[in-house]
Amino acid sequence: MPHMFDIKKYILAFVITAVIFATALWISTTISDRKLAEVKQIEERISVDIASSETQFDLLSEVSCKDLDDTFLSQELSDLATKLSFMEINRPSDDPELLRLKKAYTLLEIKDYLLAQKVGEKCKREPFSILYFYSNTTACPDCQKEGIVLTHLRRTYPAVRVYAFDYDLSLGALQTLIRILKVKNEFPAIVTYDTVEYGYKDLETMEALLPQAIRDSISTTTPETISSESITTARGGGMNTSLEGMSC
Amino acid sequence: MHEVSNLLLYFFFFMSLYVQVFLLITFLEYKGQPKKVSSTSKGRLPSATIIVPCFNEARTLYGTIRSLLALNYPKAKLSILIIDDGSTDGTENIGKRFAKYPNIRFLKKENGGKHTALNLGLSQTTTDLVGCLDADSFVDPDALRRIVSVFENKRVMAVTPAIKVKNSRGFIERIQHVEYTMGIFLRKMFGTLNAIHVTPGPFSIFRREVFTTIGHYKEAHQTEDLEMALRMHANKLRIENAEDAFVYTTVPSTIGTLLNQRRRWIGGFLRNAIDYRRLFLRPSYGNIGLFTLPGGVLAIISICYLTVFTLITSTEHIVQKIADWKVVNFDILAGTGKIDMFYIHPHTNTLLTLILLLLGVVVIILSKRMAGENDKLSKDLFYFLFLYGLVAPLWILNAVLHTILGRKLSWK
Repeated sequence: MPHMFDIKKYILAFVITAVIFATALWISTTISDRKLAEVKQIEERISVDIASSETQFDLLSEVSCKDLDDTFLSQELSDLATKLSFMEINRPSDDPELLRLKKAYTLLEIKDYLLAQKVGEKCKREPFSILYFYSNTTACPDCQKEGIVLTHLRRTYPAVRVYAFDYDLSLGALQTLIRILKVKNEFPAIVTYDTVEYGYKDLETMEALLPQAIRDSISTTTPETISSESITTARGGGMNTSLEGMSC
Repeated sequence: MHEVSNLLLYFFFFMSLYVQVFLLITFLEYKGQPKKVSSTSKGRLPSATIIVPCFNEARTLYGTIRSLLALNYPKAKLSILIIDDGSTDGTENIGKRFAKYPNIRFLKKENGGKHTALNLGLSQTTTDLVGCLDADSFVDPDALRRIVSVFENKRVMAVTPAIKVKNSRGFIERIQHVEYTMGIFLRKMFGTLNAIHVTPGPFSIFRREVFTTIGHYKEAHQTEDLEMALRMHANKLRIENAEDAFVYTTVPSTIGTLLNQRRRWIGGFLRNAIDYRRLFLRPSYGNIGLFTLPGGVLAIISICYLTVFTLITSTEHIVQKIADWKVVNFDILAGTGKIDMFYIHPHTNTLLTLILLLLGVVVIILSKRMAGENDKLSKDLFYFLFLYGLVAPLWILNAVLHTILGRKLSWK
């Protein structure tokens, strides 16, 4: 006598499993979409902040430099960078929405950089910024390390403004900046005081470049929120800081 | 490559979830069925022989035989055959002492392996039922009656017991305690599916005609109990389970002996599965071919893959993290502030893992109820969730490697 089996139970188990599986996928995707929406909101907020600061600067031609303190420039830019980098790890690399957000972020960086330059010119003080160029298409084994150094620098010295740019990003404003600064496609490339230097710079070298005033300002500003490791079982070594090889 | 590994992960997660869901549906069906009423006290009780094969079991044999003598079963209907398979310790002396009992016989033979001892016992048996009991196991007084009640279904040809751990002191034993408790639930579910894949040494009972029909035990890669079950299925003979017929077995207390035992079990399963590959995915063999065997093989493959994958990615992650910290002179707390929940991101795999763990907890709860255990759930959860998952992949990987390399399995 043949062994009996209930085909309907196999099908029912399959359907229930598929529903559970799909629910887990849906929850993960929904949370990811919400985070992306949060990033977009941050970008819009920064965009308004920068536009407001630019307008304020233009309107108040005689404004005193003491009115242009550290809070004049957006404080959320680095937080946005970290969150964007986090989303790059957790979404497909060709996600069009993510790519759009990255371009918008790059534009905000450039506007922030230009505004910082204007403030510096007005107040006769040399603004200190670090422009960091990396590439995801050209081999750059030191880009990961450089990103960590610069992230650490930014956390240790919140007054330092670090701008990270994906050299290969298809954005007119970025390509113009690259031409103006004459940055070659050798990576990592670091621009300080309008001078481009190529190759990995360790932490001590970067700290030596900082103005004394910034080095002395350590731990006088409020620490920013940090990123936690994403909880993942599928990928090891997720990059959780803003400057460690943000990918396109 | 990343996409392939992701797809594989999803596949293994899906199949693991499928098995859990299938078993829980089976449980719900089982709960919905009317409870069987035992009528052994009224009807004629069959005669039974219990074969006790032993090899250097002087430490536990006395307790094993005493437990058989304490069975709540008419002595006139119960025979006990102690087969000494060439022991070199005091097993023979202990066995001979019991030979004074009218229903106990002691036989000694040259060492030839457990299956040869069982077969010698089978050749000496004329009772309706015949079973075996490992010499390091001990039966509950009602075990045989409860098993016999399952034989009231004339189609049932063998009945397996509910095995518990006798010694649960150290953490190795506690891990196995949880595992065996879950085994009581799983074996019952497999029994309702007629998909039990092993008739374990401790107190599996057969109708004697099974052996006259399909033959005696074979060496079967040191897992003759597994091979016998598969052979029965190949011959369309039904195996059931008595979830309230308790037998207590001694389990390995060290990692080394545990690894050895499990290497034999897993290796034996894989090799017997290869020998009986004609059962795989064949509807005519029912759930053993459609569920138990493919599920068992898939479980082994997935555990091997997930273990290797996790080891590799964890190692890569740790090495990368150390390299990253080195770049900043291990000043990893610089500028740290509050944790942002934004960065807590539940991936699909994380959610699926949590769901599987939750279902595992449900199975533990159901298993404890079935096993009649009332001690704290939290202890078992700790051993199962945090320790079993670390230890089990070791013996599975080890067994798979042995099988691939064709190394001979050994008892000790």
